[in-house]
Amino acid sequence: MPAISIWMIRLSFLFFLITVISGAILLLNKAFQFHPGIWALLPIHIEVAMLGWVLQFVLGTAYWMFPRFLEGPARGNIKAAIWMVVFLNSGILLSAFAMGNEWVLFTGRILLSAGVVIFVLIIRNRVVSYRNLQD
Amino acid sequence: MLKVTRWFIKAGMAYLVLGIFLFLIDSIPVLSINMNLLPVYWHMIALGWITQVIIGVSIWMFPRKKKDRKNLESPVAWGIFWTLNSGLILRFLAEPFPVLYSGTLLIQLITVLSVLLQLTAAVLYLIEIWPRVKPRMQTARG
Repeated sequence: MPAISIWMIRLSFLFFLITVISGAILLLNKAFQFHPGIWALLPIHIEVAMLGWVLQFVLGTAYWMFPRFLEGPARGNIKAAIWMVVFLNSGILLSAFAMGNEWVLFTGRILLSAGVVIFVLIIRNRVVSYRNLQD
Repeated sequence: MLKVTRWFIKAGMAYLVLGIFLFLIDSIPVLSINMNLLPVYWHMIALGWITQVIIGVSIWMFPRKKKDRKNLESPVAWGIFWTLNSGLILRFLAEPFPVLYSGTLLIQLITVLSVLLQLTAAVLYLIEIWPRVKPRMQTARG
């Protein structure tokens, strides 16, 4: 498993833990109605679950498993992959914890989008089949 | 495919179908009545289906801790399955009703039990999978 995937998958596990803990607090609050302010966790819970956990796990696993290049770096430009991880995770953190600040949310979404675009650019040429190469 | 993985995926498919069905029910005002079904079908799909399939496939596909095949179907993996699914079932039984029965002791007890089971499943999954996220060379050395 390449280092980029190890980073992405382990980070996704940390986001999974944040998702589960925030979800547990929200569910308990629903039953016991501790404090209405706890509902502020809901957008964090959703953002971290969908983007930090599911999306990042899928991207990290795809980066690991998709067919590798036959020439040059096996999984493409490593610097681009590093920026992908940095943009993705900084974007997720900013947008999840924007706390209603529209500019922080917007910046987070821009970074997140940049991370996703980089992923598509570095993975698109690995969507191949190496069967029948000799034909 | 490991037996535990097949159970995760099949259970996930069941939640997907149920979730989509509830999504349909929620769009019919006469049937949805006063219950808040949105969190129920959302969690059926996101937790019951997506997360459960991710868990099942990662337990199957990720580098092994040891070469011994028997260790792939660890008690921890089965523990994840049973705690997660029992927690989810209790959650889906209780979640639509706090709006209608606010403060009911039974709803609160079921909710607490559901939360504890789901948290246990999450921790067990991290215990199982974290050491298996590693480079290939560490796998070869056992």
